[in-house]
Amino acid sequence: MRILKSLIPWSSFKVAILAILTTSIAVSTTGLYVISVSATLARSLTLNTEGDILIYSSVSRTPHTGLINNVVDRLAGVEGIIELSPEVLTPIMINDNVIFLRGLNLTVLDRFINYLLIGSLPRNDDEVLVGIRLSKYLNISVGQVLDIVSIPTSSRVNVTVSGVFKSSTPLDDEVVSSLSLSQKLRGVNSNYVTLIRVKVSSPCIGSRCLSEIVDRSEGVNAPLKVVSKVLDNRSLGDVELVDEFLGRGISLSNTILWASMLLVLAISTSIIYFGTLWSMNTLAPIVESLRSIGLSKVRLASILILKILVLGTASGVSAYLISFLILNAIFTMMPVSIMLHKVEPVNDLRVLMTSTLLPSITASMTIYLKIREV
Amino acid sequence: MVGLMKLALGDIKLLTTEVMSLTLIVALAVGAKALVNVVEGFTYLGLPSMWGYFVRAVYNELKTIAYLWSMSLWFLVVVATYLVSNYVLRSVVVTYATLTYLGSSKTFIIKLLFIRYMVIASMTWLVGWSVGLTTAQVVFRFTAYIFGAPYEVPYLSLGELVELAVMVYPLVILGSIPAMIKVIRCGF
Repeated sequence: MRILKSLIPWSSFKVAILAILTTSIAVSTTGLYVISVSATLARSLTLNTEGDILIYSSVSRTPHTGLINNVVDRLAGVEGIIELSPEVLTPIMINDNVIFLRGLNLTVLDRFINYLLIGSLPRNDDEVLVGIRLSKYLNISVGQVLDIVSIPTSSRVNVTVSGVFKSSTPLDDEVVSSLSLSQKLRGVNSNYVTLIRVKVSSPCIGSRCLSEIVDRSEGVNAPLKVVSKVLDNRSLGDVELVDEFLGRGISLSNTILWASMLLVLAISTSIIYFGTLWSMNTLAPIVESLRSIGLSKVRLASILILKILVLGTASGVSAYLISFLILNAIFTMMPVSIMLHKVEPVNDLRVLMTSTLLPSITASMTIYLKIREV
Repeated sequence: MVGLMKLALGDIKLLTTEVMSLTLIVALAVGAKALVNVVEGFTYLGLPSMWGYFVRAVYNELKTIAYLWSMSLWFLVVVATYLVSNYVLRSVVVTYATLTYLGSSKTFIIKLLFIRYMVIASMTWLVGWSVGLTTAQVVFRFTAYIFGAPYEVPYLSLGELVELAVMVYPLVILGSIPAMIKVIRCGF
């Protein structure tokens, strides 16, 4: 067996390994990229508060542009609900940079998110907090007066930075203010908010229960839809048009991201097939000699597949690490954002599995098919 | 002429495998570029109010995301094409070296190498962008259908096809140089 293995040198798989390594890197890079972007988009709403429930408009194309009635009073006091936080997201401009301002009830902020604060919490509508990443990006410090232009209303306000915070969430890219200031900048009265964050004590209180609380007559099958219908979405001039544009953009980017993944998977499979076939053509004289001295197809295939599995696994893992380092370098040197929040690379086991298994399985199948012909 | 071509190209089955491996690596980058062009070509109608700044900022982010992904694939493809090209002459090294031993002139061998190189590079370019573009269009249509997204057509401009040719031909010849030297020196 050992002699047989040495008759088929590792070096004869050079092209197959190049193909496997190339495709593994392509799959890992694309997979990690897609997942990092999607995760940032989701975390810009959840702020890492998994387990909490978010109530937002399901009628608008993006949660960021939707509005719902502020039903905090109706939800307060319901058994199982520990904390409620109505929030208003509004795009603003500071020194020609478009960013999000998030208005919320600052007294309950620490019950949802852990953060470190330099300075103090805003005492009134003339003061705001700034996330650490944004403060570095725009060179903002505590005590500085910011000239904020509201995008929805085109109004201009001057506010003082009372503190800078670090939450290790996408909130670090935003300006945080009182709820009333954000409603003023969004151009809505106190009855409207972008979303309501709900902390619940037991799993039985979910979106299903909440939908019943908000409106029992609508049934319980589509909680968020029910909630948004009952909460009466309202349109505000250009907002509908922006919603349409952003919805189209988000939908398009989603399609491009997943299409890119499919493209890479489809072409990668073919690259590995032809790369392995190339290596098998190189090995053809050895394979034929081994067959002529009586080595069975099964034994021959198992030796070759074993070798390619070892090489494929090693390449897959190396490719994943290389991809993660490449993405880390890209995101550090050329920061990219999605919906005005910085994208950070994430690790994902599914990507590691795909980049390892796809090339190994495809290469093994190619070897098996080729050996059958011998 | 047919005999010369046969001599230059060697075993067609082997050549097909080599060309397809190179071609598909190039197709990967071409498909990525075609998908990125969907964002580039997105019609921005403009909004009368300040919301336009917001929409523009978000679209610029989408462009950057797509562009950086595409760039990382291009870099990978450049490296892979060069490395794989190292092996495209291996299958004919023995034939060419035998011809040299038998007294063929170096000019004749170089002529054979040139024909083979031109065929491989041309096929890589031509089939590469065709396969890449077609795959991008098929997967985009499929994904857009699933997500209910607006269907835009992934495309490549004429300039991008020229850029691709400028990249592929030198990369293939650069990768083939070590094998070419061996063949010409008859040192296989």
